[in-house]
Amino acid sequence: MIIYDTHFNANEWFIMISLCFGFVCVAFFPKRFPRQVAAVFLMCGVYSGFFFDHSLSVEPISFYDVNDISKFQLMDFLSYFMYAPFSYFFFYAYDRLQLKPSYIPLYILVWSLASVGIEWLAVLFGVFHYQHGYQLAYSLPIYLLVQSCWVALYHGLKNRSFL
Amino acid sequence: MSLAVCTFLAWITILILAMLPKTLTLLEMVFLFFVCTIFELSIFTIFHLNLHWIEVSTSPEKSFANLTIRLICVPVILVIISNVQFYPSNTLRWILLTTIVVLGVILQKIMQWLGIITTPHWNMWLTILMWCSYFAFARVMVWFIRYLKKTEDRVA
Repeated sequence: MIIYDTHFNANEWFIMISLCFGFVCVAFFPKRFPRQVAAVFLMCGVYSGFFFDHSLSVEPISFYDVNDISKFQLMDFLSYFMYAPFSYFFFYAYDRLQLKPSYIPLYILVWSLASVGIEWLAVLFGVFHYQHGYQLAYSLPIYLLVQSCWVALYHGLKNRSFL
Repeated sequence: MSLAVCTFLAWITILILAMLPKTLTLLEMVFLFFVCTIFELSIFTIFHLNLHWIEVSTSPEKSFANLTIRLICVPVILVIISNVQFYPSNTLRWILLTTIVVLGVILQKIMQWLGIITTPHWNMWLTILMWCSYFAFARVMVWFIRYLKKTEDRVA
C-alpha cells in the first residue's frame, strides 16, 4: 500500500471546493430538465468516474491512485461526485445550444479538452497520482469516448420523449 | 476461460432484462443501473482493498472477468430485481427474489471456482447479506427516483 500523505490538505480542499462550487451552480442555474432526467444527468458523471477509475486504477493495471493512499477512503468516494455537476452542465449546454449534427464532434472535443484541463488541476492538487507510465494525455481518448456516450444517451432519452 | 464464462453470464443477464416484462421506465432503469453500479463497486472495493476479505486475481484475464461481473452482471441483476419488486403477485415476487439470491451465491461460487476471487475471510451468509443489502439499496433508489417525479407533478 502506498501512502502519499496523511493530512487534510490541498487534494481534500480541491475536492470540497469543487463539490460546493459545482452543486451551488447546479442549484442556482435555471432549471432545464425534469427532476428525474436531471438526476440521471448528474449520476452520469459519477458513474463514468467510477467505471473508469475502478477499471484503470485497480490491479493488475492500476494506472493511478486517488487521494492520500491506495485504499478506498471516504474522500475518494466524495471525489467521484465532483463529476456530477460537470456531466450535468455538459447536458445543460448541449440542450441549450441545440447544435447541428456536424458540430457535435467539436462540442465533444471542447468538453474533453476542458476535462483534461480539470484533470491536470486535480493532478496538481494531488487528487490523482499516476503510475506505471500513465500520462494525462491518455485521458483524452477516454473523455472523448465517455462524452460521445453521453451524447448518445441524451438523444436516446430525447427520442423517448423524456426531454 | 474465466473471461468467456463471465461474459456469457453477463450476456445472459442482459438477455433476461431485455425479455422481462418491465415495471420501471427506461429513465428509472438507467438511473438505477448507474447508482447500483456505484454502490456495488464501493462495497466490493471496501471488502477487497480495505478489509482484504475478498482477494481478486491479478491475472489480466481474471481481473477483466471480475470487472465484467462487477460492471455489467451485478448492476443488471439489480435492475431486474427492481422490476420484479413491482410485480402484482406476491408469491411470484418472493420466488423470484429468493431465486436471485440463490443465483447470487452460485455466481460467487463460480467466480471462486474459476479462480477470479478468493475469499479468505468470507462465508455464504455474508454473500446473502450483501445481496439483500443491494436489493434494499435498489428499492430505496426506485423510491427516490419515483419520489422526484411525484414532487414535480405536485408542483406542476
